[in-house]
Amino acid sequence: MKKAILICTCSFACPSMKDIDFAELSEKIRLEIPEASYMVLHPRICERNGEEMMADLLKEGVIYYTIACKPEKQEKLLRDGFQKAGVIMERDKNWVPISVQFKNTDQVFEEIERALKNGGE
Amino acid sequence: MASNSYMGIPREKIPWYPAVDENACTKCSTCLDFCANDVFEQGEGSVEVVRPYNCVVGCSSCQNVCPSGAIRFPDMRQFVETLKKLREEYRNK
Ligand code: SF4
Ligand code: SF4
Ligand code: SF4
Repeated sequence: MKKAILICTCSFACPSMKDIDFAELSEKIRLEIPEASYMVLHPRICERNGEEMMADLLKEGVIYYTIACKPEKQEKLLRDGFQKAGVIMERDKNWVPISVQFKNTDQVFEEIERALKNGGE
Repeated sequence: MASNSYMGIPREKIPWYPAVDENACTKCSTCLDFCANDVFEQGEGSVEVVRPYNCVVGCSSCQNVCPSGAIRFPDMRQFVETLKKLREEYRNK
């Protein structure tokens, strides 16, 4: 299945994400993780603007790796975006949440890399 | 990088953080568990906002998880105007 990465930067303002350089992270992903077909960086995917983006973007047949807050939190916050797109959100099938909280750029990158390289085809 | 300024404005100059209605709050702790930034702490009569400037500017997601509707945020439209003024003020500093 095609793999796509949605990075939520939480307005570049979340204290729990202060050790992440999103500019560096997104370039590293683009250059070093060819398994990802594309990546989108958005400041707040859990709100209207982000949900509209998801409504336009999300399709069946793609695995979305969402890089944001804790998975349990994402599960509550991102459900509406999937629903607006008419895609059923199924964890580890078409949706893989990755938490960036309290991690640095390298740790997050490694986790994303591991998930995409090991994740099912 | 992220914690002490937002759009060039020092975080503590930005009036964005939750307010808890102590009469409505049931001290259920949902917001405490939900927010990663230690904004809340359990107080005497209700949960209290103890680290307001840890709140992510523009985030209001804990409002949606509070089962009692006890959490309020500033009006977004007014807040955008406030932010515009602050940006002007800090642009050339
Ligand atoms: S989805 Fe999570 S990380 Fe993104 S803006 Fe919302 S609370 Fe922040
Ligand atoms: S979620 Fe609402 S009711 Fe529960 S502790 Fe927080 S403010 Fe109080
Ligand atoms: S709005 Fe977001 S960052 Fe602010 S207290 Fe609520 S959950 Fe925490």
